[in-house]
Amino acid sequence: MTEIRLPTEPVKLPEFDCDPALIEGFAADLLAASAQVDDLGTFVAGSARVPTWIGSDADQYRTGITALGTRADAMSLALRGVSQRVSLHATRMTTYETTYSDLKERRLQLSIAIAEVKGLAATATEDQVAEIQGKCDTLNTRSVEFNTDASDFVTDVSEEESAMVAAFGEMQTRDQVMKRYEGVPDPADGALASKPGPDASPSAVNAWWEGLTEEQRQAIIAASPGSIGNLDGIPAADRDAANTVALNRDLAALRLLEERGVLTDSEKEHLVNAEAAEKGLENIREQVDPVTGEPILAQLYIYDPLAFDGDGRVAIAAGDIDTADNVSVVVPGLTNDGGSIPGQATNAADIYTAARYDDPSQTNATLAWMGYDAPDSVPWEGDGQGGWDFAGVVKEDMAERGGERLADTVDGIRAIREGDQPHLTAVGHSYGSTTTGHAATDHGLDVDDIVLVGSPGPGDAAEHATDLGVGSDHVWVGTNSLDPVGGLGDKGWINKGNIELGLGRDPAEDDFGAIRFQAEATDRGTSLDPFDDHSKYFDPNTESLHNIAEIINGHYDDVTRAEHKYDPWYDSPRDPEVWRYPTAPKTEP
Amino acid sequence: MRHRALVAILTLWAVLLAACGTETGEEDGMDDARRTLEHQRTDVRRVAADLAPSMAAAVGGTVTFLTGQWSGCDSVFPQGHRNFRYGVRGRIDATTPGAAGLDAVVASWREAGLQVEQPAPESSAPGQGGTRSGPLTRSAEEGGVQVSVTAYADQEFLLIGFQGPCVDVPRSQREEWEQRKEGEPDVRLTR
Repeated sequence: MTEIRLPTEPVKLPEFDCDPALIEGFAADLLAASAQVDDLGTFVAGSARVPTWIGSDADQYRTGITALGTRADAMSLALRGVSQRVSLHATRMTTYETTYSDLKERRLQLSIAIAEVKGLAATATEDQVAEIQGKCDTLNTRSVEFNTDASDFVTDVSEEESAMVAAFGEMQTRDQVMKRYEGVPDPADGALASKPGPDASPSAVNAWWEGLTEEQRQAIIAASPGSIGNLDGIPAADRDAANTVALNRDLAALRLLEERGVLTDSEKEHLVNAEAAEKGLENIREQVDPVTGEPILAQLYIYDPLAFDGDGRVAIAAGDIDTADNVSVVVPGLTNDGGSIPGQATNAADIYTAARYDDPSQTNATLAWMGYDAPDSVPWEGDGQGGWDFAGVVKEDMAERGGERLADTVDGIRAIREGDQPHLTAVGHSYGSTTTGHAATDHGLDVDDIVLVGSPGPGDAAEHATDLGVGSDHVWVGTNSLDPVGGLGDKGWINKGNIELGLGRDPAEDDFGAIRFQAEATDRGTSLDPFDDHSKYFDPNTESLHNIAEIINGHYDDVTRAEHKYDPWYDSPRDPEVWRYPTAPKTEP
Repeated sequence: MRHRALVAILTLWAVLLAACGTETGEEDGMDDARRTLEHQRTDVRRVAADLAPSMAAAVGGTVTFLTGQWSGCDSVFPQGHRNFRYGVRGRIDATTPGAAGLDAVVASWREAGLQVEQPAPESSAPGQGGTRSGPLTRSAEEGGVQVSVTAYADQEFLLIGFQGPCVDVPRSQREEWEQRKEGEPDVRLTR
């Protein structure tokens, strides 16, 4: 009997348990620490020098703090360098995870195949030997290749870990840091010196940013996140990176103060807004893209937690604004501020999901834009603050100011998408629709479509849909017939001249000239709180969300139209939608 | 003046509601809601694990992901939700996609004894009837869990979903459910 040479067994793989997300989080923490230390360096070089103080004591003081500043600058660069190395480590470990998973699968298949061929060999007859030997040789080749790849994998991981340890080892002491970084100019400084002035257009800002080297851009993100994080014309991914550094820095610093029980009231407000931004990002990331199953990408597009007397200015995107086929900007209304961004982020994720579900061939990004100071209160809490006067009558001034900011944000998106423009839609809800209206009438809001939902009116300057500047066939209105806010702008023949509650015309009326789409909810009118019907426009599996998704995707023919409100000569405006039985089209799997 | 009167009434209503504080039987409902939702999570994951492989087999495909998550259903003013549900989403890369795939999945449901819902009738609303072929969806029910499949004329995959019904939670529990994060693991398929 001819002996069969059996194939080599594949080597056992070592355990490999790795969490690249945790490593990336560590890199982010180091970057935040670098920013904090850089702030100290900036402080020492600036206001800490107290220029009005003169004399020998002052000179001695400045000599002392100059050394401190030099050390802070060097320490900041060192931390940034280590952070970048840790980030690279996370990237490589992600690759190694895939490699390990592939190796495990290959080993499993090989082991099964070798066990089978061993079984065959044990019972082989002489005339089967050649065929089985052929199989064994093939398997042996695969096994040898596997063993080489497994050995390379172990070597690569080991080398990478050594390099990582060395990166830390080189920066263990102050002497090591000073030797390497003392006097080394921060690449961020030179780059920031050429930054366009505050009145520069988003296009000019974008041209400046694109003209920097990658090293300079990364340096600015790490050392001076506030200088570009909210700057229109900077790409969304870079704004997100910068704002994430700022957010992590704030969270670390403020939570430390909280632990020590020394938070001031304004710092408490700051922390509330920072934690709201953190939560908003989580709310998006914990949802999966319905088509890919991957967590939805979240971008911190605006992070200014101290704006508007502490209300905060925050915008978070679900999806990638830099690359999406369709970008929508959702403008919330009354009672919203930076602290309410988690709920707005959830809405953005639901809109993103609905749009992807509607048309998987298109990519989407939805920006929850709390970029303006919205009324804090509702009419029954009218205190003369937050957009309502003592009689509970709403004012438009906050919408006017917000409209300018909204138009700037959209111009910024246009600038970063130069040559690759997305289909852009502004979606204004409640008082946010008034803000959107003012952005359009007062500042030429550069969008393709305007959607107004639960609208008390698009502002006094919009007498007709055409006044919004995108063409009346691109102005879309969704009004639940039982939404009390949606009726505030009604100006019926009987009531003409008496109404002061709305913020312009009711855009759902026939003579406004917009396209009204179906936006009834199957549970309309069932809540004890009548205002609940004002907040259902972004709920999954509703007519409203379905139609908003169709508009965002540019599928105008698939939007289910609703009959307009109309104004009979003998009574107040009538709404035919109240008689229609609502449907619940699917907006998610 | 009519609008002023309407807003005054609504305002009074809202103030009264806000003053009322807790809802009737809130304490009793608290544990019930939590229990119901926890059970729902178990049921939905089980049904997804049981049915996804046969749905994939019906279209000669493979399940590429199957992930669960909590979500709010109906919003309340000014924000948040009054009820929640658990759902599992997934995707099947199919050799028989599109309408044919949809029919094959529905046939497999019937074979498995599921109650298949009739497709929603076409809306008669004005403006309906675009030329684009949007998502095609069918649904069924299995042990209180809604099962759905969505196909597209121009895509080589089907999306699948498994959802429990919306469960009202007491007002004091809403925040907890809004923030619920459990790092939902992928659903393990039964074989």
